[in-house]
Amino acid sequence: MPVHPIPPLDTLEKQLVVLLRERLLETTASFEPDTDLYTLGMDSMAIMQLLILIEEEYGVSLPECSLTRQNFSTAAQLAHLIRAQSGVAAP
Amino acid sequence: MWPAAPESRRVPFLVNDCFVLAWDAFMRRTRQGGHVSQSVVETDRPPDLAKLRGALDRAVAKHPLLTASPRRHWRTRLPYWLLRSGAPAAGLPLGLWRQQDVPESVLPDSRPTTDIQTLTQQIAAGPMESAGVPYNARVDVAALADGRWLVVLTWSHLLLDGKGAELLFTELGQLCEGVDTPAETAALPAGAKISLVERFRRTRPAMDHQTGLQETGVPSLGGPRPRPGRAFYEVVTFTAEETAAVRARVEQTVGALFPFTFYVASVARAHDWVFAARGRQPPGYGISVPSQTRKRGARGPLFHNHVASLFFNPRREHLGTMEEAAAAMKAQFAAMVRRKVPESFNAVVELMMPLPAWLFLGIIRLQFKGELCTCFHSYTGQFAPEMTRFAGSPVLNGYHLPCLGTPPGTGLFFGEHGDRLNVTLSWREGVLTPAERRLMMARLRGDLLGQEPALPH
Repeated sequence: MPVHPIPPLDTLEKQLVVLLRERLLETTASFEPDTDLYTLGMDSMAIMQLLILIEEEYGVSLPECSLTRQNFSTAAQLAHLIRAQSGVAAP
Repeated sequence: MWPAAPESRRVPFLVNDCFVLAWDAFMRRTRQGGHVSQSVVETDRPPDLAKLRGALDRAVAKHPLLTASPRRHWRTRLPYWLLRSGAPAAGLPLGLWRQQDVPESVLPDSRPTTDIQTLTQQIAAGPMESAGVPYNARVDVAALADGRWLVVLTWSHLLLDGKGAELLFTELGQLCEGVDTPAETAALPAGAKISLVERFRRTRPAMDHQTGLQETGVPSLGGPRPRPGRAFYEVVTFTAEETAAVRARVEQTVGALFPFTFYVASVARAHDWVFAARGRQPPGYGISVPSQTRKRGARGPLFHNHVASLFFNPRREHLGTMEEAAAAMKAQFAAMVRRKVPESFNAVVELMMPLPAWLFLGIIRLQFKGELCTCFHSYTGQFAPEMTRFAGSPVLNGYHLPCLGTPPGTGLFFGEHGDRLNVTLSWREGVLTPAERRLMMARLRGDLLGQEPALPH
């Protein structure tokens, strides 16, 4: 069972931005869902921590085949992925 | 933490500084020198020495920790840096060297040396102290016979980690160009106050992890007996084409997101080959891997050690192929992060902080029959990516020469500069024979490139 229900896409994007900002990345005021996470220093440890945070927060375990650079490039991409994997229909 | 006020002369050690302090104490007690590492930048022309001397002067004035001494509080027994009082000391020591066959006119006032290996040993064996000042870093410039120039930054691991050394290198490079940004003075965030019971509770994942390692042990090629001796290094730089092939193989094997788990697997198999050549097949190994804890995207503080420790446990059943080994290391990485083992390990170190530094590793050695780990490994990514020039010269390559003691006696360290992968093999005198060294590097190269290794004769 998810700890939090999967919110609509725009809300989920905002929640992920907050989660990344507070827990993992040093961000600037211009950090938005479309900001490239790799330019902010996203690395292996941060990605693994993020995977676990997503499990803890939303109860979604992302499968191996979805762990691509593309899917972890922005908060927006991640939000799409989480919703797709959780079985929630598109907004 | 940085000094809260200019008059404050005490700067507390952070938790992971204490882990390194334990290594430093162990190495000194066993006559293996201090925990002093080196980082190297290669250029194709001589650095501007006038600019460099100015930068070294300014660095000492700007960063008083570069001349601070480690002390312990008489009552709490917690370690701290004692800053020097009075006027800043002279700049960081600068040594000038030239390889044999290079005329002294190329680098006036330089001392001769035979090769890079000897040069780094000569620098590391020399005192960091100069004119009564306890410097925690020094710089040496060397002209090589093949036309290359080396700038070697020698640094105390008590004060810096590898990333910090890159940041210090970058800082010196900027000072050479007259770019003098304000020094970091903000206090690092203090940890939340927690009860002793909670502190012990947080050590549980690390203690369980260590217990698991005991099942296989952590045999090292150096063996459990500490032995004095010189530090040796071999740096292998892969071509751009080879590096591209390695990256493609990493992505194919473990995906693009966790490349270092592939490298840990390659390090395990390279060591396993040498054990096999000695007629041994240990049930498993323990590989110590630091992981940066600087918040991603931040420039990060120059000073202190900002790392968490991961102890991988490749077992016999994992080591059949690179694919199996890499998959196992990736699974172990996920399990360690999930169980918060790195944070728990820091909780253990925090509890040990007031204890004598030598006792810390003494307890671990007791647990592992005199051993500490099988080897060290790190993957530091791009070397100082923002530093394209140093003292007026374009930077051609950059890599670390991490120092280690026996046990374990060996380490394999990966990093990149531009489109080329650098691998540094560090070992202590007497730990590897030349044939074993060739064997280890042949296995490593074969595994990285996906080729059957050409067996050395």
